[in-house]
Amino acid sequence: MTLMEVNNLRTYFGTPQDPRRVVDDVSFAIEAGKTLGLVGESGCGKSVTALSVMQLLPTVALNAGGEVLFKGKDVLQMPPASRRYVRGKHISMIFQEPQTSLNPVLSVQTQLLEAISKSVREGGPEGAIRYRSKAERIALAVEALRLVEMPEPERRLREYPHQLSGGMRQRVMIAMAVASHPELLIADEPTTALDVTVEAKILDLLRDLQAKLGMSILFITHDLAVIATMASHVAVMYAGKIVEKAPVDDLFAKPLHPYTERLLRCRPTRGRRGQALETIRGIVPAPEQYPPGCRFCGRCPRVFEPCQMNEPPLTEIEPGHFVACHLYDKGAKPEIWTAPAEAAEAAQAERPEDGVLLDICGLTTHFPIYKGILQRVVGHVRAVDGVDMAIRRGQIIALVGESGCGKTTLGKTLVRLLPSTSGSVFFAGQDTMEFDERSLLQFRQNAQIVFQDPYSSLNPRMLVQDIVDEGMKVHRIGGGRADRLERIKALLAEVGLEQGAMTCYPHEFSGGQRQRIGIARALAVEPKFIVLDEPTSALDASIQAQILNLLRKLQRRNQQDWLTYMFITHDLGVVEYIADDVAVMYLGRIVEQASTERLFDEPLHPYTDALLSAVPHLEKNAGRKRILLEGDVPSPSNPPPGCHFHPRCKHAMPICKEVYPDVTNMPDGRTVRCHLHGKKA
Amino acid sequence: MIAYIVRRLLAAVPTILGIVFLVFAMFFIANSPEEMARRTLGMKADKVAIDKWIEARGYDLPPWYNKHAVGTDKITKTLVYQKCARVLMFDLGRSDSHQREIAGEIRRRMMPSLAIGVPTFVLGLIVHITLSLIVAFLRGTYLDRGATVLCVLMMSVSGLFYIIGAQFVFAQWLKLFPVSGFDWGNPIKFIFLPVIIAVISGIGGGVRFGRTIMVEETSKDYVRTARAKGLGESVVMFRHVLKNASIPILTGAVMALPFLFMGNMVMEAFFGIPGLGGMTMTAITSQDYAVIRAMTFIGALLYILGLILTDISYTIVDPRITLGSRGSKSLRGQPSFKDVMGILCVVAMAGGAAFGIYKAVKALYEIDTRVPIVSNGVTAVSMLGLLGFLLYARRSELWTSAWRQVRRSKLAMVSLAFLMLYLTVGVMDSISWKDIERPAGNAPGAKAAMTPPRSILDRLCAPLAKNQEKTYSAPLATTLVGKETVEKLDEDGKPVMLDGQVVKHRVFKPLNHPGSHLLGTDKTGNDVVYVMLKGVRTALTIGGLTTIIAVPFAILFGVVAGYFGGWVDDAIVYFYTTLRSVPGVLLIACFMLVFGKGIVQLCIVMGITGWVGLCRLLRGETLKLREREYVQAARVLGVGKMQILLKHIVPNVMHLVLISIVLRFSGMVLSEAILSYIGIGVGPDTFSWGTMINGARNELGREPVVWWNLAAAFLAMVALVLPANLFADSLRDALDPSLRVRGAGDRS
Repeated sequence: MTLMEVNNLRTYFGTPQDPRRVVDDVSFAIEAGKTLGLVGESGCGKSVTALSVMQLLPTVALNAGGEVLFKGKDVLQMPPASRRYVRGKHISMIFQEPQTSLNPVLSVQTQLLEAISKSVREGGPEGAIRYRSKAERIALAVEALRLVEMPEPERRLREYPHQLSGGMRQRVMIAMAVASHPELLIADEPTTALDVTVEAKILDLLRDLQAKLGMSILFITHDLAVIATMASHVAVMYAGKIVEKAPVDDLFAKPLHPYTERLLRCRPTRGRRGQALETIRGIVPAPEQYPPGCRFCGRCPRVFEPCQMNEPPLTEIEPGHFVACHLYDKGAKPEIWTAPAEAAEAAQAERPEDGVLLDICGLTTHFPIYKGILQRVVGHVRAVDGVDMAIRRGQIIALVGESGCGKTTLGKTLVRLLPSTSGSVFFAGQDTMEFDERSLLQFRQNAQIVFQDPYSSLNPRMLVQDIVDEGMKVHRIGGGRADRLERIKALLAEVGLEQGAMTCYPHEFSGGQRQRIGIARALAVEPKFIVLDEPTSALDASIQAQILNLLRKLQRRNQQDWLTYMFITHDLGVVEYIADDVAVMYLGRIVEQASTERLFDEPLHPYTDALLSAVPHLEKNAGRKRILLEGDVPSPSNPPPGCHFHPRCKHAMPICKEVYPDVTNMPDGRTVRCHLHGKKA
Repeated sequence: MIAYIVRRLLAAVPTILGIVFLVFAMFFIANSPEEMARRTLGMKADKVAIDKWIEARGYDLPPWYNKHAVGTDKITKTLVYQKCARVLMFDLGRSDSHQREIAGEIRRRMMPSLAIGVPTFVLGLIVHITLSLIVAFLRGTYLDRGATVLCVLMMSVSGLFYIIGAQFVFAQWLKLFPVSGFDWGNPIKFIFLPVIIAVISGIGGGVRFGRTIMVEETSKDYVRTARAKGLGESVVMFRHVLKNASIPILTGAVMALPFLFMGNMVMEAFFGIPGLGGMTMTAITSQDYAVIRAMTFIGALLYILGLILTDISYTIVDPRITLGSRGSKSLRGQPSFKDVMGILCVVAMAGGAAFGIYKAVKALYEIDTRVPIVSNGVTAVSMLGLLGFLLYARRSELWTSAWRQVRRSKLAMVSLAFLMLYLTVGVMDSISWKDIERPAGNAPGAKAAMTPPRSILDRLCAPLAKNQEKTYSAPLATTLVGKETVEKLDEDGKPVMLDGQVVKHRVFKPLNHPGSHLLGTDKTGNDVVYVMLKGVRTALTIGGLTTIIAVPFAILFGVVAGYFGGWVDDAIVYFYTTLRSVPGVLLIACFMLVFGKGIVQLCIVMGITGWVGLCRLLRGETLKLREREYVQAARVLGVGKMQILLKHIVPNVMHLVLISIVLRFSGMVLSEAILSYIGIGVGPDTFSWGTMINGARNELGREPVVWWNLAAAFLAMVALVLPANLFADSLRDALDPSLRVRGAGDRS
């Protein structure tokens, strides 16, 4: 049975004379009890589609037409009061940012009770109306929290959103959404802001709830792997239109649209190690720059004449499999599809001789907490709490872990952005923590960092050439101004930017291009070691592939002396693709370090195991046995005694509660800190 | 909680000591008891009288240390102890003028002040929140747009206008309320009008502030969640938006709470309320230093109390905030020795430059040339500065993109045209030279003398300036306003005689230049249009010079405090908290009493008090910016601290500086009027709108009413302040990136 049918939905922004077609002629249907996944890159109109269905659009939006039939009634034509009723009772929605989506000054109880209607019809739709007492509604609220498996629901009711962790906030959001037992749940990127272990639990919860309550879900995400585990049908959106629609297995087994096909192939995986990733050139066009023909034609590898002229309609090619592409037109004669010749990797130059570039010994970075009348230091946030690790020359070492585990602090401490509390870091034999001002300046040339957010990492008031030039000026590299400009030109070409970019300001670039500028800035001083702090996590999948390729290419720009990267990330797919070594961090310490193959094949530490198992996989049977972790990451200011991981560990032994395990060097060169693998075990 | 309050009170101790020192410095270092006595008793008073005055008031003690006293008296028998430190024990001493116990005086006058202050506060809060809620509810409609413009208009009108206007309409004309006075027997009769006026004059600013906050809240994600739950719009507004929006509104109001006690000076003076405000005002006009000192201390203490109350009220309305603990995520850096030396060098250089300029200006001022060097020079330099800024702005991305956006708004362009018109008038009035006056005839030996300098404006308006009358005349009238007793003349022009006496009668005396005064003439017979035009230069000078003094300080201290942190930050924060905790009017009053009235003094003291707000803003912004990734990237590249400040921090706070300059400008014009009214603004011989109002306010009681003088001054002010406010608004929209994002996310 079809629960909701969306026909030719159009939502435009701007003025009627000059509309920006953000959602343009979108049609789909959601079956009762099933999940429809809506995927695409950012800026494709996924969220606006959901908001149009709910009629929660910003004022600048124009409802340009179409219909949203919910059980046969058009939501768009309803008077506001009945639309509100449908919203609260039959269709619910959860959002991406649980942090901002809950009202910070109202208690969980107040917000939850709002979602529970005060009256109920007893005995079917014609029955008498009965009013619920406050106590009854509170009981229902507790039940809703139980439904989302919230620990200690009664206590949570009295708490405020800021007292909850990110995962718990999202549970409250879900509880609010399902408290009225809706028939349709719209989930707009519900796990994007969450850690992978929390994501796994929330996804499980949503699947459970769907089974229990029999509701349908419209699941919006950019993550193909998540959609593969959640949806029964998938619609792929591109530039305001649905370009492909199919049952989930069909879509992943046999993607028809070149966009879908490329999107699947640009994902970094282990299988593509050592080769360049396929990419989609360019970026998603802005609504005011849509080409007249197919909107993908500017980026499509298989573009031919008709694509420039007409927009392809969404047609059913195979039963249930719709696609909007001229390749499948009757009588179309596109060039024969050949996989583009892989850019032959520069003859796999042998990695130059190894040797330790960075030797980290017992490094700690603590932030004091002040309290009391005299603002005395009463404790420390132990962001980095005794890290030992060696980074070999010319290697890519990945640093993984959940948010708050201290990855970024470690990276920033290594490049001396944050002062260390104790310990030492030997760079080419010298302790960088002891450097005086002059040797520090020299070290600054050798160690650079690339930041996550491409928007805040470039000074908006400086020209690109000045941004790149700044470091060269400080370190007197590249001679006079004219010579430096030549170098900047070459450098920008190397990172894939056009010459004209030099005299532009950062805001004229897209996220991916900004990240290239950030990389050029770091490379300008010819460093030996670069900390890459989540360099691709703010980017779309196709852009991520471009940047990863660039980073791999740049690592070898000097044949004799490869660059050394520390790649901080939470995306294990990227790690599998790019890293030589992996270090897993938990509450300020490295719990396991090994070569990428060894670590992924045979994780030793239970935390590594859980982390790896939480990652959603596109290939259905590739998934390992799921290990769901109990509870949340403890606060780094008050870590549990003994092994920090023991309260969440399935294999916890009595000794784990008392002693933090020492480093165990395994015969194959990997290190692990766990009593299971220690000498005593 | 208690630990927190104790800590805050302990932290207030140095601030209070700083205030003691500040007041002491102003009264006893910059000023000597002799001068005080001389000012009170008159310049010609003899030595004996002065000594008597000084001795009676206990000003004959040594300032810091009494060599002749015994024991602890060595310290206590000093000016700093007797006149300043004893205030800390709430021993306020006696007033200079009547030798009355100040504490008793305060106790007596406190209640009438509160009788007006408390209803104003409560009613004002209710009215502001209600109106802002209504306007925010209607956001995006024409009503909302109309209300926003109305708010700006109400903000642009001088507070004096509300008082004078309402007093005239309700008390003098309709006779609904008594004009002034206070009586505990029937307080409502006397309180009603002042309270209503105070509430109304605050509506413009209050509602605009409230609306901005509420509209900002309505675009937050949680509002979307609430709507997604199917809640009605009124529940969304009242439960979700109002509670969040009331946090800044309420806590802002709490800050004002202690000051209710101080009373409203202008209001009490106008309505003859025997409160503390009136007392302060009398003290200023009668130069009662002891009372001013006492009120300054009390004001400062109340400010500190207000700060603590604000913090506590935050914890009550916002569950996220708890007192007492301050978890710090990032390490506050400590400035190195080199940094401090660098900062001190910059400060010393700035101070040296300021002193050098002062000396040079003074020297130039003495030179008597045909073209006055100082006034023309200052005009030329500021014009060149403006030109330089425009040339720089043409090449800078920030300013050109802002300009493109501002140009799209018609309102902003019309406002700019107004501002340019004023600027032209001001500049024309600033370029002046002297004429050589040849003596009549060609008498040998007669030397050519020089007239006082006359500006281009004077020359253009020569007829207006010359056409003086004897006293008031109505717009375009042919006769003076009042009848005068004159000798009766017959047709031949000879006096009519009766019984050997000259016959006199009362007539409207004809004007020298009938029908030529578009807005009439003032008390001394000057043409009001001319006086109004002359006031433009004063207003622009006050706005401009104050900015030139305040902004460099604000940028230097704000950015340095925010970026370096550590004890440099502590020192700067301490410095401006101390300065800020002295009530502004009293600080200005002290300064003007000590250094004399005048436009330059006014600009200097308003510059000194004016940099604090911008400094705080810039410090906060710098704290945020220094954590930005591009600043961190610069640090990793090894860029020096000064370079980071100049290239990464300062350019990214300039938009705030510009917005605050334009906003501050209109505030300065309005405060000048009030200060001149209180009698601590520019001197009475300077042309300014404030002196115009001050001179004309008592004339509303005349029959027939002399209104044109006031009307002209208010009109001239509104026509400058309203465009400035509107232009500031659109400039802010164009420059503030956070507003740009917010505008796009506005939901309904």
